[in-house]
Amino acid sequence: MIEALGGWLRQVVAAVLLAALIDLLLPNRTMQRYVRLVAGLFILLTLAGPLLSWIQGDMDAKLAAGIEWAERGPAVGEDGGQLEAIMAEAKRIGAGRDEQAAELAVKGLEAQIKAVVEQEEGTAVKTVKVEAAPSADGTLAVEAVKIRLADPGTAAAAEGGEPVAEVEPVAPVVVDIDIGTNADDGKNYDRAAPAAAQTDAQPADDGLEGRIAALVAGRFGIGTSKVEVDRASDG
Amino acid sequence: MDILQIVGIGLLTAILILVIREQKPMFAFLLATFFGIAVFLALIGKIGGVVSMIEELADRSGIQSVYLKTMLKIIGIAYIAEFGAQIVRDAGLDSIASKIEFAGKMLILVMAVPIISIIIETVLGLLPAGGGA
Repeated sequence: MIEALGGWLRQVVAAVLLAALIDLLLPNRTMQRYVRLVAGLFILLTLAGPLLSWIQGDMDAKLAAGIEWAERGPAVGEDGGQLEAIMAEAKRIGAGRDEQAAELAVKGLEAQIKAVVEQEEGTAVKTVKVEAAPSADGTLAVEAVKIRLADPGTAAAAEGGEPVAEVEPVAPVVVDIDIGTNADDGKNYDRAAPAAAQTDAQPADDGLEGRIAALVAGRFGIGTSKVEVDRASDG
Repeated sequence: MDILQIVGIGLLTAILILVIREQKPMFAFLLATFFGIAVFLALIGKIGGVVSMIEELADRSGIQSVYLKTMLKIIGIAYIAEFGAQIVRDAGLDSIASKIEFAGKMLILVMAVPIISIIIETVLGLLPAGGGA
């Protein structure tokens, strides 16, 4: 507060000094009245600066634009108005296009996350919702990712490790049994282990959410805290 | 030392103009114009020093650069208008000189338009029934 007050006071003093200096620098008295008017307005603007920026936030930008217009506007005339209108239209169209591009990017990211999670974790994903917002430097930044997994019952019914079960008959490694009986037990055990793991994976879902969050975070460079995984309660 | 040189050249130019004016008034006018331009060019470096000093001062005090730019432009307009008006007045055309001065005044006033508009907008915005500005 005191700092802001000090800065404001310094600005006022500088504006007054500048006005005095300019009054001194004037070549003759014919322009004096006009220059004094402008200098006085500047001092007034500096004095009321905090109030003005409180009432209309972008006062500085507006003032800069106004002075730009004052330098160019009267000379350019109608063309300047037309150009301004065209520029405004271009800005509007550009903003619309940016919005569309952001929407497309978000949709693409959602589809990619869904595909990666389904492929890597083997669980059915019901919906993926990505919330993105433009950051300070104009680029799109992901705010949050909400992944809703499909109900485990339906997921198991739909996919549920059936391909793995089909593989089992394809392993007639029984041929090896003839060579060494001692090693057979181990091999049989080894072969059974993945199947057991597959069947265990469905009930042991405690770490699945964390794993999916870590997978998405690692693959897409999104902070783990921004990834939210939950289960669809109603199938 | 510079001032001695400038005063010396000025005196010399004045004598020359007085001599030439009888024979060729046109050349007298040209000589006066050239002297004015030469003095301006000789002092342009020093003007640059003063301007940079003012800029540094304004930068340090945190004043907006828009203010300083506008003020410097006003001084520039005033000086150029004055310079042109005096040359034309020397040629004996007071009416043209006053038109140049008028143009300078108008251009200075145009600089004030954005400030006035911002102040008026703010005042209107402060009023309760100010049209919702």
